[in-house]
Amino acid sequence: MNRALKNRLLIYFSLFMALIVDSYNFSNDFQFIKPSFTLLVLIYWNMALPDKVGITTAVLFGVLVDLLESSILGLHGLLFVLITYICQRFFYQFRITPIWQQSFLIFILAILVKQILALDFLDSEFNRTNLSDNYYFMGTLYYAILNSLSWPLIYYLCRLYRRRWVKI
Amino acid sequence: MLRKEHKVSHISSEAIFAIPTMKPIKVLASLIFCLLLILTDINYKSSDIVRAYGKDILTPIIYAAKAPFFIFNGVVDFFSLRGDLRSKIQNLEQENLKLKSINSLMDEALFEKSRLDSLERAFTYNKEDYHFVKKQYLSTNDLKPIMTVGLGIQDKGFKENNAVLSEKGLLGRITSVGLLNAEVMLIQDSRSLIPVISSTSRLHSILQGAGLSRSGSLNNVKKSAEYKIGEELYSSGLGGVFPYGFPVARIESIKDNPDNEFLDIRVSFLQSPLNQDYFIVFQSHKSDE
Repeated sequence: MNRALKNRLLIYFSLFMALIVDSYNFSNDFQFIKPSFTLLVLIYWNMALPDKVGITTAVLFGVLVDLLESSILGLHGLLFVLITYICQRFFYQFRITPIWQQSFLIFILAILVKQILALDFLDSEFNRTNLSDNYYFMGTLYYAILNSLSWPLIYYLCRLYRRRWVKI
Repeated sequence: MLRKEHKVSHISSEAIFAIPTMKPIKVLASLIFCLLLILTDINYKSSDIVRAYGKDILTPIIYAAKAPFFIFNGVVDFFSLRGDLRSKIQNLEQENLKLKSINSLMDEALFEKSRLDSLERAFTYNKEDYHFVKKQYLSTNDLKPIMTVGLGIQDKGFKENNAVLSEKGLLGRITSVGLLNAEVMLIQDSRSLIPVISSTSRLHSILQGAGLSRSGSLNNVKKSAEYKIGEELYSSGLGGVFPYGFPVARIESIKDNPDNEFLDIRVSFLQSPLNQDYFIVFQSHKSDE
């Protein structure tokens, strides 16, 4: 098999594995704050091999996450495209920063993502554009903290996977 | 290195980037594509048609996430020989859930015994109208919670707007049906509006959700209305979407704000999709006719 195709398939496989982990259903409030592994793995590949992961991957997995989460079709796609663009635009800077600083950037990104998901696109409440309340904001903080804490784990796991399987 | 893999400075002829950056036109095209998807979904609800079928495609992924737990439980059952007992308990629990659901309706029916028409309508519900579904996934956005339920292999003729019940009463309605899965909009969803009737004051109103683990509210209730705290709210059946007489919520606070022409009534929902795996879809054949 062509090396480039094999690498692409291996990257897609890791993203599908992340989607499988994301689709596990918790039967308590942890369900609403669990970290988004698909997003983290996508960020990793954008940072590690930006020439192998493109906009198409971001749109495809964004739509899959939309279907899984029953959100408005295209919303996660849009977010993933924007995040992919930011990661690829600044991946040189992002890659050389220490892991704790990367975690902090993930924390900021996660807050933005969760708050954008609270926007009232369907106008279900009058005079409000954002449905977020104190309870939701606390959930957003926990979500962002869990994402940033998961980042080192994802980073080292994906790096191990890349070095073992994805040959340039 | 191939020339197309990097940009070259026109001044020094040195490589600037080892890896070419994204083409802005491609990013722009993707953004426009996603925005178009969003706009068509908002304006024409285009995703309602494909969403449940999309869930069918994702079913292997959802099952793959559960596979380790299935395998672990299977091994434990095999060695402890409790598999039969477990399945019997599961069947009994399902039966119990069904009976509890019908009982909740009976309580309300008995309360209304003076109203013979309603009573008669309530008693015509039978067990064949209730079908079990299993929770597959609950969306992570607690402001707009959507539950995915597995419909099983047999086609039971589920349709949009079929009511979904838990043992404590009404939980939501089906919004999209696929081959194997369906999406359920929960009553806690901020987009959900349910016509309800109160248990003692017998007043009609519209109940709106505000997200899971949050209080709902009764819309546009005049200040002359005599609601009581602790009063239960049942589905009134008006509008023909939800069936009549299932418990929905309980009034937890009533505020009379001077700057508002309506009462501010907060209610707590009686049921939650958390900590529960099986639910019942109610198919009213009468409403189909």
